[in-house]
Parts: sequence; C-alpha cells; structure tokens
Amino acid sequence: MLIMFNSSTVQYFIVTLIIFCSTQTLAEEADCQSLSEAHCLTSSQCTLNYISENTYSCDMAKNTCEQGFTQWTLFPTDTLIENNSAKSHSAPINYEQMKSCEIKAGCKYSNAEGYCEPGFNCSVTGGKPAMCEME
Amino acid sequence: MKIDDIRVFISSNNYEVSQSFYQDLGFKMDYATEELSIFENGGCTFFLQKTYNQVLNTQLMLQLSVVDINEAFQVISHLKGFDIKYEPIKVEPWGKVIYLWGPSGELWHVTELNKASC
Repeated sequence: MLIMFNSSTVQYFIVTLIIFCSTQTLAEEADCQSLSEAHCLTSSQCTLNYISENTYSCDMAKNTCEQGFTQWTLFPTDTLIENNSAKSHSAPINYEQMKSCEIKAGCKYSNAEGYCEPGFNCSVTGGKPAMCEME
Repeated sequence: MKIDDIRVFISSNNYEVSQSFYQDLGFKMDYATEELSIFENGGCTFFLQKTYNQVLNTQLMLQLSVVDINEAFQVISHLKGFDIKYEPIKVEPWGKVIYLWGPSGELWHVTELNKASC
C-alpha cells in the first residue's frame, strides 16, 4: 500500500506532534510543582532545586544527570551512609547515592549542604539538598 | 511491650475513588464504619478515612513491601480511571522500588527488598 502525503499533511503532523510534546512537558512540570518537598525529593523525574534558605522549587528533571536520580530514598541498612567529618555543616555523604549519579558520564554529585533529609535529626537545615548535576 | 501490628490511617479527598483504587490495586475491603474502611492484603491492613487532610497526604509516605515487583508494576500500570502517578521500577542498592502516588496524593514506596537485606 502506497500512502502519499502532501506538504500540508506533513506540516499538520509536525504541528500536532509539537503541540502534543509541549503539552506533555507542561503537564509533567505541573506534576512536579504539585509535589511536596518530601515527595519531590523522592521522585526520580523531579528535582528539588534550592532557591534561597528554606525556599525550594520542585521542577521537572532537566537533563540526563537529574533524570533517574532520587535526592532521598529508603535505606534499610545503615552501612550505606558514612560520615564526612571534614565539613561540619555537611550531611553524611551517601556513597551509594553518589555512585548512582556519577556512574553516568558527565554527571557530578554534590552533597547536601545544610539540608536535612526526611528521617534525619539535624542541627542545621534549610540549605541545598543533594544534587546530580552536569559537569 | 511487644507490638504485633501497626496500622496507618490514610485520608482521602474522594472516598469512593480511593476505595476503588485500593481494591483494584489488590486489597480486600471491609467496612469499619460509614466513614472508615479497612483494606487487607497478605495479612497487612490499613484504614482509609472519608475525611481529607491535604497537608498530611502530600507529606505522607508509606512503604509497601512486595514479593515480586514486576508483578506489582503490571498491576499498577493497568490501573485505569484514577488520577494517579507512578514511576518506572528503579534499582537501588537495597532492592527495587516503584514510586506510586495514590488518588489523594499519598506516596507509596512499593519495594522488593534484596534477599540479603531481610
């Protein structure tokens, strides 16, 4: 079967595809913005971005480093988290979380700074959560 | 004190929709009162309340431990007609997880733990 498209038909498909894609992106962005701080940290498709002290924005993961990276997750064993005594206000480095980020080429893990993750009892909070960013 | 069970109370913004959702997810429902239902699967139970607390639900996280996460994903991905959100199976050092947001915003960590973690 031979199907022929004229140029206006092709244009229609392209425009439809663009509208569909951009609508889906807006919907996903809105999904992230509707999440609470704890739920945003958990989502591997959303990233909790630090704006200023105690102010955050939950946005759609914007690149391959952020996509699939969870800023907080369940850890049933305590062997995965090790203390980093060098920085007094830094959270313990979660080496498994770091590995899940840096296993991807061009991605760099940055530890939480003055941020208190759910389930932890911290003396300092309100800072930047753990991030997986492009180098 | 020896504890033999803990049951959580989940609030719902649309009670009937949440009741249908949890039944479709594989829970057996029993009525407790007009405004409270009990859901059971594998001997594990929780309460669903007719009242709604948005602040509570959008912070609420629960862990649902399953035997087979692939089977769980099949069930979740075939749920129809609910305003829910879920993510693909994610492999973690301790096992596998699906993040599933229920119809009232509650977040379930559906997990299959590594055998060594138990």
